[in-house]
Amino acid sequence: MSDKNVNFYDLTGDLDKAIKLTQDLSFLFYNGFSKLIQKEKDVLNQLAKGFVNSPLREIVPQGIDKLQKSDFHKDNFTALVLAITSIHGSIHDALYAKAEEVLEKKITFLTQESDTTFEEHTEEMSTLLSNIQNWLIDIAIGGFSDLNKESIQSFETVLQTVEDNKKLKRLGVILRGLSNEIILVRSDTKEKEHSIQVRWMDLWCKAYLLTLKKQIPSKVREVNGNLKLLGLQPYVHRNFLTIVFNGILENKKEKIYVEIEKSKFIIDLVPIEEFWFQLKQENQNLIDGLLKSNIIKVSNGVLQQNGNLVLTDYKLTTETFDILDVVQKSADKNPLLISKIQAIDRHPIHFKLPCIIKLEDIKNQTVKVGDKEIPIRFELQPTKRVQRPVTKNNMLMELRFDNGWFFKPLTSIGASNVFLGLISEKISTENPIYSILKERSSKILRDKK
Amino acid sequence: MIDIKNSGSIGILDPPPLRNRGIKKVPFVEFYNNRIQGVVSSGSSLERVYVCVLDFNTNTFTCHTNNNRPCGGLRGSMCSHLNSLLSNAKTVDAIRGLDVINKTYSLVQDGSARYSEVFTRFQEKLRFLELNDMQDESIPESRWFYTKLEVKK
Ligand SMILES: [Zn+2]
Repeated sequence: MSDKNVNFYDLTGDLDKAIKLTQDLSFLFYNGFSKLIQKEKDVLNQLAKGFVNSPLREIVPQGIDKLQKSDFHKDNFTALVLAITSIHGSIHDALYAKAEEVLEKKITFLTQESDTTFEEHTEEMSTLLSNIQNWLIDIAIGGFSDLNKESIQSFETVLQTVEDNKKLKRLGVILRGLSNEIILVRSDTKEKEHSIQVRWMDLWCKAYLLTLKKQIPSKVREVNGNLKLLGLQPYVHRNFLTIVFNGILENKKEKIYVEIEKSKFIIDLVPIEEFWFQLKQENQNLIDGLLKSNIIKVSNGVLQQNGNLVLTDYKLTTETFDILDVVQKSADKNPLLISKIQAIDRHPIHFKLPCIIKLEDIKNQTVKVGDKEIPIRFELQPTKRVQRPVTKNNMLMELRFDNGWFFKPLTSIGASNVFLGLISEKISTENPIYSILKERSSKILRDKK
Repeated sequence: MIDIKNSGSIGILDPPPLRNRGIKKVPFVEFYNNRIQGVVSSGSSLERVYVCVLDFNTNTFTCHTNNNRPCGGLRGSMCSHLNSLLSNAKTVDAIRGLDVINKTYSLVQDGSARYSEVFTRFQEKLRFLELNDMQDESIPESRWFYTKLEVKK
């Protein structure tokens, strides 16, 4: 371990060390805070020293000192969570600075004039959140490695209360996903990868953070304009499916890089294709806009601080756009704006930057940027047809970061159909299992209440 | 040009085999804790269902309504609900289904055993379908989860 202390509050040249530290910290959560070994205490000490100039300079070292002495009061875990969240935020910001340097490109952010405001809770809500917080603390003390079906089951009633509350949907998804993932992945020996454990710590921290205070973005922006979709990325998890569209919202004043996220819970009684089919059907206009490069007119859309666009009123037009034009022309006088995510939600995985890549710079699944070679990585292939370059010479990709830099191709033009998880649409057009169970669920569950 | 087709890192999802089972008759069937268990429709109404269990821990079978009343069809041998459950179990998992078929002959009736948790498990799954009706809120963390892909190379 180096003698020099890294200032995690202000990362300039210490990006790699900060990333390494978050990875090391995840071992503590996996093994549990009740059985810290010296090596793990060293990691905590390193963390404690990293906030010299930060508002956290007092509470972090104090909290960490107490955790090391097995004082598991929630204030100490709160200090730890704030420290980790702060590092994630610093890494996120440092990645943009690094990208500017490597790509020799100025990034312009869309700043939303807002400080995060907090909502007061009812007593009932405070009790619920406090129960969840205690459960999370118990998990951290025992470690993810100790978590079993019984301890998850004992939490089931609380978890269902969270899930049934619209205001807590995000917390519900994180808790359900995390607990299921720990149980299922851990029992599968093939999947014991450290990168998954790192993500568990992140999810744990985010859940903990959401129990502290209900955070509401105080100023979401109402937006109107032309939406030009550039890409689509499906994500599959054991509990839900998500599709994320990438695009640019353009009006007279500005061009904003946006995402549109659509999710669905899935259950194992229904073949996954039926859920895919539903997602597809519900978003057919957006998919058509993407495949045919047709402009979508957006009225009264809501732009959240994380760059997520919630569509309320939109119309697919027959007017087409040129993908490359949209990104390239914006470079000069009217720069493409990237949403500046609010501080507590900044995380390296949310770093994203659309880039036009010259085909001559692509070799062996990597993109040459200056003297660096950055790999091209696909998550899940959304279309049947392969991604084609936008023009003879260029391709549109998103620069991302997840345990290292990578480029993800964005455009899917030339594709005739969006594939998602569907091999055949024959079965799904009738939607049999889903609709039968849905009919039952409304009757059976209403009966229960 | 990138050779996407031959890349090992990408893939398409292998869908699970289509389960063309009788969902109307047997909305829920599972292999769980050394049991074949599920929920079988009464035929008369959607709300009234039978909870059917073949328990290989106790070597017994039983069938009762979701209100814990015994099934009138149980007369020392398996009722029509249990038979429906069994044939459905075979379509869900043919190998495990075949594996247990021989064992079912040695099971005996236990008309008094109650398995209310089977119905609860069914309800818990159905709950998620209802949650899908909730208004959309962006959950950026949904992308933090580990994605298990069945990659077709
Ligand atoms: Zn019966």
